[in-house]
Amino acid sequence: MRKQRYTAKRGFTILLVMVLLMIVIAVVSVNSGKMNLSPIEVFNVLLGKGTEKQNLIVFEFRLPRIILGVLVGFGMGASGCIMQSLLRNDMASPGTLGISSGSGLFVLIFVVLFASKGMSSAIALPLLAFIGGMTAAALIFILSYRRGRDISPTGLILTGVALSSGYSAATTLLTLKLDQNQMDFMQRWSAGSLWGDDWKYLAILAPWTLILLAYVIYKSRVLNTLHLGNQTATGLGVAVKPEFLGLSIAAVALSSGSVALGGNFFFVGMIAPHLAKRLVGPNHKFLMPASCLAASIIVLLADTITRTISLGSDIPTGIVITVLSTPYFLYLLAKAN
Amino acid sequence: MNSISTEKLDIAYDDALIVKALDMNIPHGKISSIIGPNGCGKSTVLKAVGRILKPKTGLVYLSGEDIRDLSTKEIAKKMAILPQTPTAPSGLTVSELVAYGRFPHQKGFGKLTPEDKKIVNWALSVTKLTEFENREVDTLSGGQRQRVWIAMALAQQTDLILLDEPTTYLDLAHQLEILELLYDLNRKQNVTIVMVLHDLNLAARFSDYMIAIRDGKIVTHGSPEKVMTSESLKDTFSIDAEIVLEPRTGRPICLTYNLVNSSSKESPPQKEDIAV
Repeated sequence: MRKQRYTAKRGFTILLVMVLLMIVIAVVSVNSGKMNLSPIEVFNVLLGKGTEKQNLIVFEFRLPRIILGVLVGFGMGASGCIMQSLLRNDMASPGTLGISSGSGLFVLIFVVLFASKGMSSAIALPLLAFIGGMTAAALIFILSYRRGRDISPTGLILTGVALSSGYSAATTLLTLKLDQNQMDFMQRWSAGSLWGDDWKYLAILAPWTLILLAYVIYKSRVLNTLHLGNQTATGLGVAVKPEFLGLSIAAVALSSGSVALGGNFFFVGMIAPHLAKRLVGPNHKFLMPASCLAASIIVLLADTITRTISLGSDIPTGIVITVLSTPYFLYLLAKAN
Repeated sequence: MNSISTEKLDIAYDDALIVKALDMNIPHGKISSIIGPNGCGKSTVLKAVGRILKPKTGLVYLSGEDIRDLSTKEIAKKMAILPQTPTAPSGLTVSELVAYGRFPHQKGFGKLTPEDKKIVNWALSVTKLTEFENREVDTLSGGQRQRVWIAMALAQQTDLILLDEPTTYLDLAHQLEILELLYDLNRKQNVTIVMVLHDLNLAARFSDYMIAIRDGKIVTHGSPEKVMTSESLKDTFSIDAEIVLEPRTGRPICLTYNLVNSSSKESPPQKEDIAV
């Protein structure tokens, strides 16, 4: 399939279509769940004419969850896109590099040490996840760093994979110390449960994600040049070291916010940038927003499916994503060979 | 006047000193080639001059200014550099990649101005790529792709372009095509060209100035006539070379050669030796 070329006009059109698609899925998502609400009822609620019960369902349960899904998608999509471009490797993502697992481990330590039941501190979780993610990133960097040599992307990814199995082992070890409640929480978290669907968490996550996103979109021109390789980027006048560092930190921070409040969405960060690249091409001015939108659509879609089709008990959203993404991932691998 | 000069340049990987106390001058407005055996440090020198590699000690001057006093963006307005075999992300079109050359001149979000577009179109036409402008770079042939990278460097609008083995992996005709393009750029647009070349005869044919390096030190430098002698090639490559003047261009070429320590001067055996 030799697709038509990626023009700016095509880019804008696709972004618009993606935004519309996301809104449609969001509307469907508000309507669906254990308590069905018709679109008209939802509309009335949004106009302030709903019953108390309807208000409760829309504003306290469904809307925050949808916003969380969108933000988590934005974070994972942007983070994966940055990592793939900086490392020039399509397998890079917060999941494969072990950044998510690093964040997860720190979240778990917090759960074990401080919070027994109520996750009281809204800011502590993303911050801890960020520290965990940065620790993981620094470890990967230190372990694959050779003085005076260019860092090989493959080396970084392999180190990430190795480290993330280490984190998993540590996580399992810690899990044994948990009581039943904490255990349930951890299991659901690691499967990607979108648990932080509460306004008090969103009040932290929204500015966190949107400010970082503004920064990386502003840097799309720099990402374009870094995507050509560090030497070419230097030749074009990019201060490679500081830009690389700044964008890496932003990528870790974006994924940390998502991981802390959404859970471990392993595949989204890898697959969304792929889909986006096929749709709008490699120019980051389009690729970055498209990657965010693709990731949000995946998360929202999976969440809506989870809540619509009741498969016994509540299944975490991440499981649905993994089930949906695995064939695509295998297809990519087959194609790469 | 010198476009580039280096002063006591020491360049090291880890603790291994690759280039030692190098004093090199690149004349302005000329084509200069750096030649030398594998691992002699010729690419390393080019990278240090192009501030891709930080020298251990020593100074690099760009038109008389210490490059450490210039921001990387300022340098990019004066000097373009093409690494060896750069790669473009799949799906990127020729005109997009060439437009990336405008990077050092842009601000903020970097929307292309009409001026930028004019320069990109000029770069495309000079490199004869106008008809390919909407093609994806990864669908082009090796020679065309190399021209795209040169066009990107041209869009940077610099007086100086550094190229690390621009003819690698190209066949005879495409090698010549790239070098003739660079020659035209030098003669018509007055761009100073500095390149690392493997092929001695092509270097002698197209260069005004040659620098022969061995073990991180300059063996000899000057016009092709001065550098392409049996004496200096022996010192640089340890070869015993037969230098003649090429009938078409009048430039010195290496007609044939042996290793200096080779036992037989005339290996492989000649036809007459075998046929009885």
